[in-house]
Amino acid sequence: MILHDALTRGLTDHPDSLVGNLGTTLTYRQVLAAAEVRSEALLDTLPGDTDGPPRVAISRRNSPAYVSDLLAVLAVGGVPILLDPLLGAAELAELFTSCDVDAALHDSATALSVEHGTVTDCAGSAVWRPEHRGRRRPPLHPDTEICRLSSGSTRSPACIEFSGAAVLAASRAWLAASTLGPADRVLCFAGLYNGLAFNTSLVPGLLAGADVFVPSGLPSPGNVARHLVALDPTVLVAFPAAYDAIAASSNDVAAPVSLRLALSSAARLDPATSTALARRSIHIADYYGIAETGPLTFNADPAPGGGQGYPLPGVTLRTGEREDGVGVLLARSASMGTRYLNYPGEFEARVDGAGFYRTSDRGSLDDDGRLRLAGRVDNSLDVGGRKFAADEVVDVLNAHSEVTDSAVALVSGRDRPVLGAVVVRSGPVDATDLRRFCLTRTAPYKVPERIVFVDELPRSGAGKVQLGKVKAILSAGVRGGTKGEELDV
Amino acid sequence: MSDVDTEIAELIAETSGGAVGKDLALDEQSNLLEKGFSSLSFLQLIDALETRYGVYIDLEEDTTFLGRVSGIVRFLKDQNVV
Repeated sequence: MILHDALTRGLTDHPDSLVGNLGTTLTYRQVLAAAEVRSEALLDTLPGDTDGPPRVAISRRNSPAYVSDLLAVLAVGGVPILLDPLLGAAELAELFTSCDVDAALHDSATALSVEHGTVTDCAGSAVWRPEHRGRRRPPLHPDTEICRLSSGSTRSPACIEFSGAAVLAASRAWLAASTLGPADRVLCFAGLYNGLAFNTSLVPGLLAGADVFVPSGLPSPGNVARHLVALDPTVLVAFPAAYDAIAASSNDVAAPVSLRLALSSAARLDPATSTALARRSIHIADYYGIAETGPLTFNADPAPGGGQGYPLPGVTLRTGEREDGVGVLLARSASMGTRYLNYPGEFEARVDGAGFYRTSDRGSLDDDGRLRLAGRVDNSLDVGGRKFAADEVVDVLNAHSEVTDSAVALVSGRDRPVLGAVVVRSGPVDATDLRRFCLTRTAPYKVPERIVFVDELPRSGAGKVQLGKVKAILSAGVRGGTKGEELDV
Repeated sequence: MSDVDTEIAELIAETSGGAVGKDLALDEQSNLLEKGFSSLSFLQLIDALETRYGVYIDLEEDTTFLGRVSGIVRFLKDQNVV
């Protein structure tokens, strides 16, 4: 298990470096000790007869305990599956079944109220275990050491298998480009399960011996400002939505003395935001990476509107075409995932004979070799840097007993995109009821802000939903649709 | 309904990007997420509350009080700012 060995070596070599937040901070030495306690408890908790390594989901908010949990699962020879803690019970249940998860670690026993399982204590953390073992256990690739999720490429979140070599290759490339070292203090507002945090802060940070601070609260401008003042980080990591909020705020968030790098990814950063923050001496490097390939570009000297930077060491980017002739970016990296555990064949179908992964992003390399992204070619959605498929939301809406059909899209709002749904109903459900239903099943960011009820969805002669008309209905913000319907927001 | 209730409802309406009107914000039957208030709107609401009232909202702790006007008003009263 090369990932466990490498991480443990990073912590052992820098015993006094820190992992924490403003409330709780542990030294690397203490993290290792906590991991040992948790791993002993895990050995007592996990079934001893799993077919292959035990699959342990970690669904926790950012904290030092996240790191010790990750190390503990690796230490017992398990494969950690890192999940967004905001996922709803229905999403967790589907993932636990489709990946045949043997256990799940979570902050809260109530949040783990997934059917057909029991929740017990594992050295102070709630652990869920299935009552019945899965009949179909999708095999893990022999090299798989960790799994993370990808949303937007498949109808529901796909579980990407990564070898230890791929994870370490991503980290080594990042360390070489970012020159992260033991003197750095990384302040990361992204969830540790997410590639932005995992590939720029968690793994490279621990390998380098940096202090890694991981707040769990929302990155409001005031919260970011308090952390900047208290921690004086050298590296700031956050989603575009956090930077947008800072730029729009009257809270005069300024760069701390030591800040040398601010990172953003997951969606193109608004040039107005990067310009506004550059005036406050916060120069944001907006890099490109996707869950399946790891980080792909970096720019140590970013300028507002200057694109996504240069390919990382070991990365090759080029443009190509999908089967339908639509142009997309192709990426090859040593940090690429192996396959989807719960969507057999779908990952492999996107990798060509030369090892290039076919992304759903459009973009080009300029004469200097810098990448400039130009948008997406599929119907995946991005809300504040969180990607997911529109079909995920449709499935949740259509699961309501009084919903017969629905379509989902992002439309322009007053000052940012708004997630909207056009819904055909068969009963008296209203928008609030429908959102309440969705919130019990899915993450809050996938719940439509705007809901318009119609008698029927606009469809083409072939029966395909006409997305342009759906967006027009949602954008109108007034009674609209195909037959003079009710707006209910 | 107090003036503070109305003020908070207006802040919610402003920061919701049009998703939640003032009257809907004052309806205590459902929380803001159920009304269509997004996590991005919460970022703006928290910023607006901290800026207007000079308070510090600890986002590492339980923040469910932000889901209803009554919870926000109770928080501001506990902070002795209204």
